[in-house]
Amino acid sequence: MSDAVLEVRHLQTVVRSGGRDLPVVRDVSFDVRAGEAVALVGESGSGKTLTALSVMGLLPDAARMTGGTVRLGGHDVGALDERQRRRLRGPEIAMIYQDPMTSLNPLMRVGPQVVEGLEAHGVTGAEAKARAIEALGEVGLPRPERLARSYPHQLSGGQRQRVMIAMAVALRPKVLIADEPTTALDVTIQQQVLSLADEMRRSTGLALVWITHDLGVVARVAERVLVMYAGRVVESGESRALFREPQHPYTAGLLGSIPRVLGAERPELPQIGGAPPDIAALPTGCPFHPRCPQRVDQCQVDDPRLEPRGDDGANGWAACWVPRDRWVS
Amino acid sequence: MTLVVEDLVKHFRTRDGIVRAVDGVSFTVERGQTLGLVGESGCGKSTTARMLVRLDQPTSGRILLDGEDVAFARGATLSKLRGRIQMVFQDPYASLDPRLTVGQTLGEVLTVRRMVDGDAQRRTRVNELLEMVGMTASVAGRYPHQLSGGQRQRVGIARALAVEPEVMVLDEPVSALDVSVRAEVMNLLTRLRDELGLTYVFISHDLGMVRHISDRIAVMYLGRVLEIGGWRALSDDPLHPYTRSLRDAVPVPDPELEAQRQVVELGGEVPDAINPPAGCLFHTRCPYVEDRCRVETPTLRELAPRHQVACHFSERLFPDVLAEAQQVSG
Repeated sequence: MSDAVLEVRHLQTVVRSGGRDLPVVRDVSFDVRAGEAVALVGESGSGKTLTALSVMGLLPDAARMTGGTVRLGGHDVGALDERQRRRLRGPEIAMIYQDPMTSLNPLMRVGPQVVEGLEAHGVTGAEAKARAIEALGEVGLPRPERLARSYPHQLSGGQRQRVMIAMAVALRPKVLIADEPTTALDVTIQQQVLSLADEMRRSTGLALVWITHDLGVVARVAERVLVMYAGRVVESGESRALFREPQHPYTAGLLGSIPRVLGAERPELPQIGGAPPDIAALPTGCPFHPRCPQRVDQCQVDDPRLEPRGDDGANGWAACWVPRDRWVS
Repeated sequence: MTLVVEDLVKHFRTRDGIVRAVDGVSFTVERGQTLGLVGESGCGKSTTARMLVRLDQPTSGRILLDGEDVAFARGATLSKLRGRIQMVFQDPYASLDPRLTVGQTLGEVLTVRRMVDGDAQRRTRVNELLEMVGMTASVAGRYPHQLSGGQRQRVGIARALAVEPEVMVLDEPVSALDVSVRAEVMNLLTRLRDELGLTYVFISHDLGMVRHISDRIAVMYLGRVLEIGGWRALSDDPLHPYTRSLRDAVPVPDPELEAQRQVVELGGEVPDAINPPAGCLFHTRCPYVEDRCRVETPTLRELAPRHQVACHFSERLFPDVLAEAQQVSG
């Protein structure tokens, strides 16, 4: 796929803990094209955030990438030194987080913070100031000149998230990674942020990688989805097909456990049982097998690979020994 | 057991002025039923919850348990109240003492509330409680950090059940849990309610979960109830513009439905509770605002059986929905 702006292949990342390297990201591959929105879905410990941080080259000290490649706008990121990588962050790729306060400096007015990001990439003086105000306006903040003089604590949660998006997109990156940016927001504010992201994607061709645990958000923003579990992609595919006919029992279980949004019936919620595994004590075989209603003997010993479903992956890809048409209901 | 809340008010004095966190909330929950309280942050749903269990002292109003007003109960009466109403919190990790085993946590409640006589009885009851929430007796020896999020919330529920309450106030009980374990805690809560005849006040920002468990639903905004009615009418055919916006804002896990949706996006944010808008509290964000809304505060009116709405113009805005609601009893 030559038109991909971000290409991740066989990504492996470990976290050092208790004298051991724990495999937090295992063999994750995906592409994102310009103007496309891809969702990374998973629960706590699924590896979705560490996948994003690996791509950004912003892993915490205890973590390190041990394999795979990340190609960004024609660069093999792994072959670059830290200085060269820093140059890509901003113009090529940017990331926003769940809690804007972790990336905003509480002691600095927001305007200068946006300017600082621009200056680090050679946009200076009056031009940087103008671009900062422009960026704050583009993310739908009212009276950006005035707002630029506010401190982060003077803004609402929704406004802070918009400031963070403004900082991220001020350098017109080709890829934006959004890590649960709306989880802490109220639903009406979440809706505003989702619309804003969608609008930027459509109008500027921004590629979005949207990380979330909320399948509703996935359905609203993403055209393609990767479902992660215990550090691996267990299913990937086009959103509509994946929601209509999930190919992995975990995806099916998640979708089934959400209350219906319409109708007079309120049956007991189908539940998965158990909890996501501890990465330090992964089960043998398929990591989902202890919770899986479809498991067969093989699942306890062999970890299935992600393989195409349907003709050439027409139904997406899934890592499961039991094809959907052989599932017991 | 019927829980009746009448004109409940909580004002907080702050340096910047008086915050009207809860400003005249009324509702009734029949025995064995569930009232869902929904709204965005700052709407007063959690303050209402805290007043029900008297973690916050109401400024005024009445909280009637089978006719007995406990809003200002003190001393022995308050202590008795705590045996009748219990709360389950959002974050089970923060609400459990990390130094105590599960057995010690539950045993302590049983001893303090004099629910058991002696060690043997206490042990038996701890095991019973664990069984009620779907856990085995072996969990009694574990510490909170050795449990998963779902297990910790089960312990939080068992602790509330230990005093054999009649009412449980559930404040976002599944919001902090992994998506794959929420269903099982929801099923547990539903089963306990039906088996023990418990009365629930279920507070959540997750309309899907509220729709799933509630008999009636109240929508709050800036300390007041804007709409209250049966679960289905409130979630599927609301009569207040705010309830409709709230419902439309929640993305549903179905890409085909999402692509077809015509959503009226709600602009702006919830105003400051220190300076709430004059007239209708929602008028600053309402897509249908008219002059009257800026000056005259709408009161809750019963537009369909047991379905009250605080909007001047529901009849004109949603005539078809209203006609249907009037046919189907709330």
